[in-house]
Amino acid sequence: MIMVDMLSAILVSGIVLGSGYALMASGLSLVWTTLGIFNFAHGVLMTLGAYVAWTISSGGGLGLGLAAGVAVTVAALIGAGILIERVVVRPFYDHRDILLITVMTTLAAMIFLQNGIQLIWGARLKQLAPIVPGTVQLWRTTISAQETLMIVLAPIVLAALWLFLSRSRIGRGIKAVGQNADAARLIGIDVSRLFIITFALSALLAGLTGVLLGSVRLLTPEFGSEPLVKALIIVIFGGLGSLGGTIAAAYLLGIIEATLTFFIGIYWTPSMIFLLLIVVLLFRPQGLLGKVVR
Amino acid sequence: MDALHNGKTWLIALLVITGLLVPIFVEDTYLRHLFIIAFVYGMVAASWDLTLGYAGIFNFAHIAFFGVGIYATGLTAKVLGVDPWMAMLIGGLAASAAAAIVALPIVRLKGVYVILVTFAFSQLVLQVVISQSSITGGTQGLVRVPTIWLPGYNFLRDYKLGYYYVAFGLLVATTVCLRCLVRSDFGLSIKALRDSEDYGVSRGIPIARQRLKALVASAFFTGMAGGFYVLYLRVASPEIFDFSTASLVLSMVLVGGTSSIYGPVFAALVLTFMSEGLANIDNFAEGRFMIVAVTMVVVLLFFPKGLASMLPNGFGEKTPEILLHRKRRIAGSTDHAE
Amino acid sequence: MLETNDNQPLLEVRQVSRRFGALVAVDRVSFSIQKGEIFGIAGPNGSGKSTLFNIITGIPFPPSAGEVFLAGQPIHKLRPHQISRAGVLRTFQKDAEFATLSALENVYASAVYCGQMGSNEARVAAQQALDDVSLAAERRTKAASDLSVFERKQLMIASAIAARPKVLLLDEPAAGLTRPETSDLADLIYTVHGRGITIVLIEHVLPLLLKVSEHLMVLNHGAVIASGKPEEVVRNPVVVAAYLGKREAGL
Ligand SMILES: Nc1ncnc2c1ncn2[C@@H]1O[C@H](COP(=O)(O)OP(=O)(O)OP(=O)(O)O)[C@@H](O)[C@H]1O
Ligand SMILES: [Mg+2]
Repeated sequence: MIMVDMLSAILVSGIVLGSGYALMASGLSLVWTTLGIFNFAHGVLMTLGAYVAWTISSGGGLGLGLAAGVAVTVAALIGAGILIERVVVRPFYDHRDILLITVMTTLAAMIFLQNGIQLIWGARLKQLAPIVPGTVQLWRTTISAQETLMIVLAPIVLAALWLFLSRSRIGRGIKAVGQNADAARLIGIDVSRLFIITFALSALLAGLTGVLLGSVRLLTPEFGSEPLVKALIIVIFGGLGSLGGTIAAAYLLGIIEATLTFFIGIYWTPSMIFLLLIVVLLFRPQGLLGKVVR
Repeated sequence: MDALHNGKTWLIALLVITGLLVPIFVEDTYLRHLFIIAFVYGMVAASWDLTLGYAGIFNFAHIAFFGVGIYATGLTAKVLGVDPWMAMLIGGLAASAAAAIVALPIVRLKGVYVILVTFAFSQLVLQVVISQSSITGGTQGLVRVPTIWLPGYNFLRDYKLGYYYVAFGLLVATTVCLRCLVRSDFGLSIKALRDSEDYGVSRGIPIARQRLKALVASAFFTGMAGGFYVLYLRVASPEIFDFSTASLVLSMVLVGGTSSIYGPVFAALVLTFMSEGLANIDNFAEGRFMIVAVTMVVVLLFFPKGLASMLPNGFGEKTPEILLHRKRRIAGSTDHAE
Repeated sequence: MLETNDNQPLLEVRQVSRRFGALVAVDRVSFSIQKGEIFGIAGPNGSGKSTLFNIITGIPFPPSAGEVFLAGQPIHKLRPHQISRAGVLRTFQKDAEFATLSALENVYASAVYCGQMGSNEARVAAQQALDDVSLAAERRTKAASDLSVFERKQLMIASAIAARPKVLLLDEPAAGLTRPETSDLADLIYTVHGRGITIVLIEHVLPLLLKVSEHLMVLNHGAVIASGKPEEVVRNPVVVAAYLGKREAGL
């Protein structure tokens, strides 16, 4: 009995963690596979999404309710994604060292936005009201309804993303650009428009993650930093090649983290994860699940 | 050629003398404090240039090595009661050890993976510091760290004169060592590998070993700087691991221009005074980092060789610049061997 | 250590292969080269010539299968820079010099790290090697990226011979050269050869290849399809078919 309780607790919290990570990392992976750049501002976009939603919907802000909050957040995040692409990524497309440079510029964007958020909203902790209140009993483990919503919503969103990428014209264009931008340009695909759409989509995914996590955790301007670091670890584990690998790695990391937390406690878990990371990289430099990308 | 070299030597001698004379004219403790902080950042930025600029390693763990130096020195001096001077050396060695651990996976990795692993490492050092709060003080920080001493001299009642000279001495020593390193055969080999990995190996350069050495050496200087920093401030806080600190120092390296050592040192001086000046404006603590961020983007956009390259006879080497001439390293690009 | 044999080949390659997924880029290739030989390798585009050099030198990857011996000693298990130090040096098909270093520094680095000389000796060896390839003295302090195409070829060869190699593997050195430059290159190859260095030459410029090679091996789809005296090999119907087939496919 106790064994089963334990297993249930680990699995459920692992999947809750994994769902958030998967949403977060998929946006990062999308930009990587399409543009070949690594967006360090991805975490702060998540923060931005949560703050905007809070401002519109919460009593502490404008109090306009959930629907308005989500709508404005979507609009704001699409805007922010486009802005980042325009200002700190686009000018460097022709650069020989675009990868290193955009790491620095998106890092700058992250610093800018994070401090901007602190300037506007202050350092006081905030919390979004849960979209669905209450708790749910899930196979012997009780979690909040909001967390259950995440478990349910993550696969739906990711499936929708997958459908969009493989079925829609724009999605297939994005994939083509990711495989070979020059060839795509030759066959008449508007590459720069797709780059913008990719960024907007990725920002949207970050914002959505922010809104979902914003009621489970407390909001601070650094809200997105920890998920960003987790997303880094996920793409290392999963390899950078494919969205599928990233998502699988996200759930895997969630469960590993839950297991480690259960057995060795929250203090030692991060260090253990890093050790694991080094070991994985020593034996499989392309990531645990990935194929060679270069 | 010789005349130029001589001119440069004179200029450097002049700058060192100026540095020695500054405290005579600057008696204000706060201004002296700014100089001391600037010297520390100068050491951190210049030693970062060794890995990022010369060796072309996408090393984003440099600030973590600085933090390792800070905590290693602070903890050995405070908890173990090691002599502070000795502890500073231990800070450097601990940072080197951390660099060796990071080097283990990254010397074999390429491009983006190096960035990811070094970033992840920084964050995880932070996690360890925060989680082991019974030793490190956690988010509260480490307090009451003992400070450096000299027989018959009191560092706490001299209006920071002693600290100024220790910091300046460390900066000069660090700069001299780094310049010697980059001008040595070792320096040649890491630049060679940066320019062309495969060709370097085909000419007998052991790639993993040279990169390991570069990381370990660069971490040693930043670790020593961290050691001095914590002995000077007598407190340490995990905020040092923030992305903000990393981007501040990165902006110094970029503004000063990579592959020059001197550039980042001067940029550190200028930017420390600027950023502290901004921080003193009321309610503008966030604004200064926003300005730092904008500076980084502007420099990368318009002055990829660093602002120092704008000066006539810029102090950097007269060679093309890493950021301009490195091969494209995007995964998935058509950049496979042959 | 029993097999001290005067007829022992200097470089012997036994059954080496390299796969990339389903593609077999080099397919069980064997050959051996005597000391002092100039050994030519030809083959259509994509036939696996450069890949063969890659796996012999371990740069950037070792063979998937097979063995390589240098003067009887196995070298395929050594790390790449050790293979270079053992005396197997190569040039690359595309430009690969240390672009930001001066020509002299390029060669000096090779003498220090590959030839494992002290710095004075290396400085002398570097100047000597640059003399051997006759790179003009005033060009030696220029950054490698500022040199002309032919000067970069000279540099590439100088940086190899400064390390005193046993075997030099040249991958399409004539690519991008004008006709007079190609003939200068032939002289350069003879000069290197005159220093007692064994040469393996991959070349698409057939006149050059036939002029200097004493032995010619032809690859197609990663496998050896002919090997022998150059004049005979080029008349071999299989070789002719391989080249023609390629050309037709190219149309
Ligand atoms: N790193 C690699 N990954 C995947 N395939 C490769 C790689 N290197 C070479 N190949 C493939 O192996 C085959 C042989 O290539 P190789 O470069 O050896 O040919 P080559 O004979 O040198 O041609 P060329 O005359 O054009 O230089 C080609 O089909 C090439 O696409
Ligand atoms: Mg080839």
